[in-house]
Amino acid sequence: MRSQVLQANLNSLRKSGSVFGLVMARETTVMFSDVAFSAKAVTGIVQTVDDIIFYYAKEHRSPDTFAFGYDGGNLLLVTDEFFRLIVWYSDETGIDRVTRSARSFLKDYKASLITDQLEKGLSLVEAERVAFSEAELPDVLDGEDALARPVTERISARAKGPIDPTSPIAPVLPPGAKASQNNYPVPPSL
Amino acid sequence: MRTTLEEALAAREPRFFRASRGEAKGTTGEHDTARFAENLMVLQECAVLLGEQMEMNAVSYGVFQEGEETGGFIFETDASGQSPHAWGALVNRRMPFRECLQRIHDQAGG
Repeated sequence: MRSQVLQANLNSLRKSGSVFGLVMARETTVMFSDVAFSAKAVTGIVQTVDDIIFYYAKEHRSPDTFAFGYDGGNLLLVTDEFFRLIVWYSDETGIDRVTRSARSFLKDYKASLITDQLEKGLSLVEAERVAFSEAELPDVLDGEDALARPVTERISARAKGPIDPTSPIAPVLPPGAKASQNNYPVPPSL
Repeated sequence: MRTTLEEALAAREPRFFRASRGEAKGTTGEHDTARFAENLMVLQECAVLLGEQMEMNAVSYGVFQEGEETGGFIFETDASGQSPHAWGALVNRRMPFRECLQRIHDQAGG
């Protein structure tokens, strides 16, 4: 996918529905960012996402889609191998449409990388290898394995308690805080 | 005779759980409840970590899809706001997030 097409497609996704922010990354490298956070915050978010994926990988797990609700909006994270698409949106009812669009985009993007190589006359196997090679999209974090993973360690520390039904589960919310309920009513019986 | 867990898995229907005050409770057995508890702890930690980066500290829900499984939680507080607890679910299919969250809310409200 040519950079102009990539940008156009991401801009199109960025402007769909209630989407108000979008970041695309390859591992820890920010490829596209259009969100009202500082560059430092975007870097921190992308690094945190990479750490989360790393944590799950260490556990031999591979979740590919996450969504979280916050007081300031909703965050969708879609991953496909090295690539991550992070989408912020306000209308929680549109969560599945945003998810489908994000996943379709990533799928098309990966296919386009391979197509670009096929057009150069490479075999499919070779095209796939070159398309996703580090040389095509360099990762700024060389020697990543040597880097500390504080976030991963924090998740591990939290999650490695005894696995039984009475293992401690600390609330996310501090006492007295009230979560945003978005479009979901609070059951009066609770 | 099939267990509640076996029935839920066969029907690909959500298994619901509740967690508060350091305990997770469910109706599909200790192993399944422990599995939910582990997922809940990791997922809420992921939510908090990302929230810290965005300076958004109040988390209302988290959901994930992995292979042919969907899971998630919602957070609620009681009227006094002093006793936050989580309702959650696991289901052995890729359930749309909206449906998953709504089913958890329905269960919490029921």
